Amino acid sequence: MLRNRRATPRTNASEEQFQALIADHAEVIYRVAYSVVRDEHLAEDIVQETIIKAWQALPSWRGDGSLRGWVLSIAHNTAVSYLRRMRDTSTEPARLPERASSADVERETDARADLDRLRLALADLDELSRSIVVMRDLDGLPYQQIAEALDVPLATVKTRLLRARRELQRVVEAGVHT
Amino acid sequence: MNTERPPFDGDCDRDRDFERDFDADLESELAATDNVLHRSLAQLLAPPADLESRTQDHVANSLMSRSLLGTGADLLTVGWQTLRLMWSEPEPEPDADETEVTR
Repeated sequence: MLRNRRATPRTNASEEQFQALIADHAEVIYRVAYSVVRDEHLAEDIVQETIIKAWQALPSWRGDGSLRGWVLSIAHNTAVSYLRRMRDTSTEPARLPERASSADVERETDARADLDRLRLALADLDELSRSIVVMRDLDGLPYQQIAEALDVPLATVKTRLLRARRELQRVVEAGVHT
Repeated sequence: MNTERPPFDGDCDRDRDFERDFDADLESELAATDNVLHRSLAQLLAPPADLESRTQDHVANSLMSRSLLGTGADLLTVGWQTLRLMWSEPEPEPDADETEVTR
């Protein structure tokens, strides 16, 4: 009847493992989470939940593929679940972490406006493409690992990345030239 | 752990077809790096400076709370089962006559 739980690390070895899990992955989890939910506080919640899930499931991790890819698959799925839950429960569009208005963008300084344009362009991509861009272009994960982490074909990773990059580059270049 | 794997909205079959036509030009476009885009994305998605320490504190506390709650639930379960055993009437011993009949 007693359940098998994995609680706070107590031994030195598991304490080190626990700290390494956070040190190695917290930032990249945050980037994936933020790209999906577009809200800083939610992204932090997702980091914490992902670390908890990964820590508890670590003993059962088979070790095939990279640990980074495995952790990011948990992060992406957790972030997508958060987003869907919010869409299901919130009827007020204002409560969803959506884009800023174009009027807001114009009020900002140029540098800030460039980032806001990029944020808008990123928000226009689907969740899968956003995660692919972050995993590849910011964290340098190999295509195959991204495909495994997101459970999609390799071709999907490449095509989504290409389309997403073209769209984002168009926005970034437009900002540079204005 | 893929317990939460939601279906994606994408047209993966169409992407698979696309791969057959994925020529060398596209591969080289894919391999090219765009530093401006990289810098902008890194800036946009930069985590807070104290993310690591905050995550560590919060996750450790959360695991501890879950562990304590779980232990409490286990103790309650064990206590309840013990009380049930104590309160339940003992099974009657088959008496000698019944033993004779069944024999």
